Amino acid sequence: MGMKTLRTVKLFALASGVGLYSLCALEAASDQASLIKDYEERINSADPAAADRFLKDTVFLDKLAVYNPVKAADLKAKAVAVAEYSSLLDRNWPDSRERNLSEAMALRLTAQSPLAKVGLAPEPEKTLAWAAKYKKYSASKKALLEKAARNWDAVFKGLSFWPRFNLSGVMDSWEVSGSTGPYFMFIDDREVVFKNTEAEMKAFWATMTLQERNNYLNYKADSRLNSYIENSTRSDFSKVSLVGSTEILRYLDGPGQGRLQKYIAQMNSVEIAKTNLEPSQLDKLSQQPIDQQLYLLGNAFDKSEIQGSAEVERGVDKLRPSKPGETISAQNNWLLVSMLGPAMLAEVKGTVAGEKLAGFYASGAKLDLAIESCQGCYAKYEPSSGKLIFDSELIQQYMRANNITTEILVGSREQISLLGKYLAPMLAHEGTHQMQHAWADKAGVYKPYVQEDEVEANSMEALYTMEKLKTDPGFKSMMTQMRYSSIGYADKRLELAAAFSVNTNEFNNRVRQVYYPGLPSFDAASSQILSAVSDELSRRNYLAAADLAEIEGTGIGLEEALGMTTQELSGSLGEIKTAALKKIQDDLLHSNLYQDHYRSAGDWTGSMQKAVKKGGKRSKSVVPAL
Amino acid sequence: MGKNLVLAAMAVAVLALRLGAQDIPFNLPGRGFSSLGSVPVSAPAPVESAAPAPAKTAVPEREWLVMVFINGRNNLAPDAVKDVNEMEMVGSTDKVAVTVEMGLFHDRGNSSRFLIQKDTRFPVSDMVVGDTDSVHIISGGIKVPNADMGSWKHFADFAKWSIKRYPAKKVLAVLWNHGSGRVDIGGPDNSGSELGISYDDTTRNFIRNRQVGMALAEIRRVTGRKVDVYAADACLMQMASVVYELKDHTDVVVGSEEIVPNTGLPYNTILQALNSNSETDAEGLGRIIVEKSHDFYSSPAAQSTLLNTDYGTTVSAIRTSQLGGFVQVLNAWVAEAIHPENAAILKSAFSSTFLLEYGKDGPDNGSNARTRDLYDFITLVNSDPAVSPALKTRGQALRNFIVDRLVIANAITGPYPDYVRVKGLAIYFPQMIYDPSYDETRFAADSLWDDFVKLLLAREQQ
Repeated sequence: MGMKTLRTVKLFALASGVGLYSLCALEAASDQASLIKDYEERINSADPAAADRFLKDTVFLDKLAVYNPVKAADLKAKAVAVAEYSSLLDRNWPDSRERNLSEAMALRLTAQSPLAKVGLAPEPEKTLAWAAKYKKYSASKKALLEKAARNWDAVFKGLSFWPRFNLSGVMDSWEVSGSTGPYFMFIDDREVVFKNTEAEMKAFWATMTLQERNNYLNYKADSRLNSYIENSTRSDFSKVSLVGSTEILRYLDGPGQGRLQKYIAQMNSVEIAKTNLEPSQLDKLSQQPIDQQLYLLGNAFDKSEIQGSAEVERGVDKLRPSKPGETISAQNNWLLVSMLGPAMLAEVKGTVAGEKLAGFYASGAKLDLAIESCQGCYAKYEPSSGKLIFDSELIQQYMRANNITTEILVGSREQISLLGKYLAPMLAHEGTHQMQHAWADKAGVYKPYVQEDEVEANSMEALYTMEKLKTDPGFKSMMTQMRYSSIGYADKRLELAAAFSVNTNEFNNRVRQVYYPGLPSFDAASSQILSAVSDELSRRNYLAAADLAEIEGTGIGLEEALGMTTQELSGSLGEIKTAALKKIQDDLLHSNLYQDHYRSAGDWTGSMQKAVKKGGKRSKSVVPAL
Repeated sequence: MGKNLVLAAMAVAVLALRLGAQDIPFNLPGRGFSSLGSVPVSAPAPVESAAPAPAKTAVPEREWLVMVFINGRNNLAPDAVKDVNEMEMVGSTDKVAVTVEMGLFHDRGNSSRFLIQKDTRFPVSDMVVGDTDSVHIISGGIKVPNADMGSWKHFADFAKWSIKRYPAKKVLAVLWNHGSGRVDIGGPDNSGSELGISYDDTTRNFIRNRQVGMALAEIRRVTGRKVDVYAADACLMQMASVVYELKDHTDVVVGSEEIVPNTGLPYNTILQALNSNSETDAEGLGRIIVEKSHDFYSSPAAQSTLLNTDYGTTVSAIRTSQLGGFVQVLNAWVAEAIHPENAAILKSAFSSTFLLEYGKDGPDNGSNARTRDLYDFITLVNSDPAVSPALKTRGQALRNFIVDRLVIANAITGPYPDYVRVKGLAIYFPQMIYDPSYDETRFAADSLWDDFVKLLLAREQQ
């Protein structure tokens, strides 16, 4: 059959809503048909070797994509998901990264995931059976997998369930305790997992997704931490030790772990500062929770009511809440934003990362800053508004550490420059995210937010920090000093630069496994989207003409769809116009475009890392075009 | 127990110790306060793919469209199912269409969208007690995979879906879930960054106060239809800083200054009244919601559970067109109040002002809304014998503005007599630590209240 004829048949088949698979099976040679069948069977049973083989068979995949794009997308989505999941688990995961592994698995083991279509999700125990069939993991790796899967027996191993009764004699909770007495958690009768017997709870637990298990355990841990933070007034060593050894707290998520570390640091800081207090001063603190004790201590230091070392005072200032004069009012926020952008751009100038950013903004991109509470981050790029948001608490912390108020800050060009110097690594990071979105806009493709984006952004940030540490003594001195005055920010910048300067490949893995385990890789995200889009397109084959016409008439168009996050896209598939869905499907089927982009970015930062390390002259020509 | 995320987050410790507010005995049958949701296993999910026929051609415009975004992805899941059943007592009519998007914990990320149908499977002789099958939803729904019930965009999508299919002259949008008002529930740095409503325990997302306004604006942009009335069926949301975020996007805001019991709004009686008076305008519907809520919580069944406690309920409707004027009057009062000679009066009034969240008076760093009734505060200042004539005059102007122009309707219930002091608008009032995120509200940008609060705190610390 010639091309023209083939196209006619395809159009006819599309118009009549008939799938093309039987048609192309007729077209294809019998060995091709049997190859499709073989791939389907093996991939549908989550065979990682078959998935790898299929993905490497690009000639076959291209043919299939022409003859039957829906089938090709479906099979590719499954194969990519299986291969990517297999590779994720194969990596070296130390026991200390159990939570990270669990987060990474939870992200993939959803009911809507292509892994669910091949029998690997959503129940996490399916992973254990799959690993037993296809992998030869060591006993310790298997144990880690069970723990990361939040398997009932792994979570509650060695713990006993004791029923507790209310005054009417009705069982209303379970106390889960260790053999040595300390309780692990209470499961109340109004909680989702509460059942009348341990066996029933275990059976119910088996039906929960990993995300649900993690959420539940995090909830219990977070509640315990909250009760400490809200109610406890103690800062002594035994209290710190008790908090640090509370078993349930290991199930806190990333932000929760941050709160725990801060709380422990706060208790330590209070305890040290208390050694300088008179009995009457101690009495004032005695009934206050730790946060408020720190606040009062900060006030007392400022009024010279406490005679302590500068180091003790700095420790208090770092961890206490801001005083009213140290917060950023709406008016000062506006002033600060207007001055900070130019200050940071001036600061990054002359570095390789900075020149790349400068070129981007000089080409017409807008540097639109905002200072807001950042929900636990230091900064973020917000694609929907185009803003680079810097965390207001981070800036307040900087002001506390340097003993300046907002009024002083906005009234001094020098102070603004210093703040710009401090925050500039974040501009390198978040500006890179802005460039990534600009690239996708220019290429006209759908871009999910994935680990590869963070590898690139973290590399740019680390490259910048690394170069500044080498070339700017003021920057080095500031970051070193702020290590002792900031909660994590300066430390993390220095840690990142150090890791990047040693080995970019290991840095890449570190970003994925340590910093962003809860973010999908490009393969994981694209397979999930492809799978969902394929399902939706198949569903449309059976929709009534009037329903289809309604979607095409009033549904979401391409421009809006391209701006959606992965979650938004997958939650709105039924409302998106068919042409837009097909465009996104086509984008993701041609993953080379994305992979080339990420590879090019990696090559550039890698070569720049070497150049900066050597300290040689760098040619502007190596900066890739956007 | 109420729709307060803060308290939900405290569940473990508090339930274990049986402390304070957690023993609020408002436990209507089956109503529970738990951690992550405990949907009765027997509760059937909405029927998948039995979608009500969408409006295709020449669908007559109804008077009202009521859109309820029910986020039951937490401990409120059983109450979500019950509230849908309340709606099914009345159903959608040719005058009022009622749509729901409901997410439940353990729904694997799939929410459901309904046009609420009347449940006729049981004899309905009385609207209030007619539908006795409180766990069975009869309205056919469509499945929405990967629904993030904590996303403002998803809320807007639901509204757009509803408005396109069930056109109406006027629109009510309800956000149903936990609410935190302007309360610091402790972000990673305790920086007060988690203020909002509609907390999805599956996606770990929630709708920030500012994003409610963004959603209402987006709905209008796409559909050309303004949301006439917005109601928060959630705790602590009727605060100046929250309501002010919505001032350009809706006409009437309904909500509670106080903790809202799990029962929430009485949808059956509200819908019945709306059907009987479907010509009513936005303010009329605001009054209906306030009145029917008052009736419900004043009923013997509800009252019996409130007896011997210090707790009550509040609900009010606010006219957003007056919020600009309100800020002017408030600013004039602040400008006078900040004079040093008023310090003692303000301090004394502050300490006696009606404290919401059941009078909770904990520290500023966590699960504590730190909200007080504004009208009551001004009243206490004005009643101080030492108050200057100038401050008294401005105080009286502010009080008059609140009750005469800003608040359309206000109702309180409960045996605790001091609730009569609550007049419909709460305001942020920390005792020691100012939450920096308050600076980021539109209210703080336009009003002097943030400066006033900082001044009081600074004086305390001198």
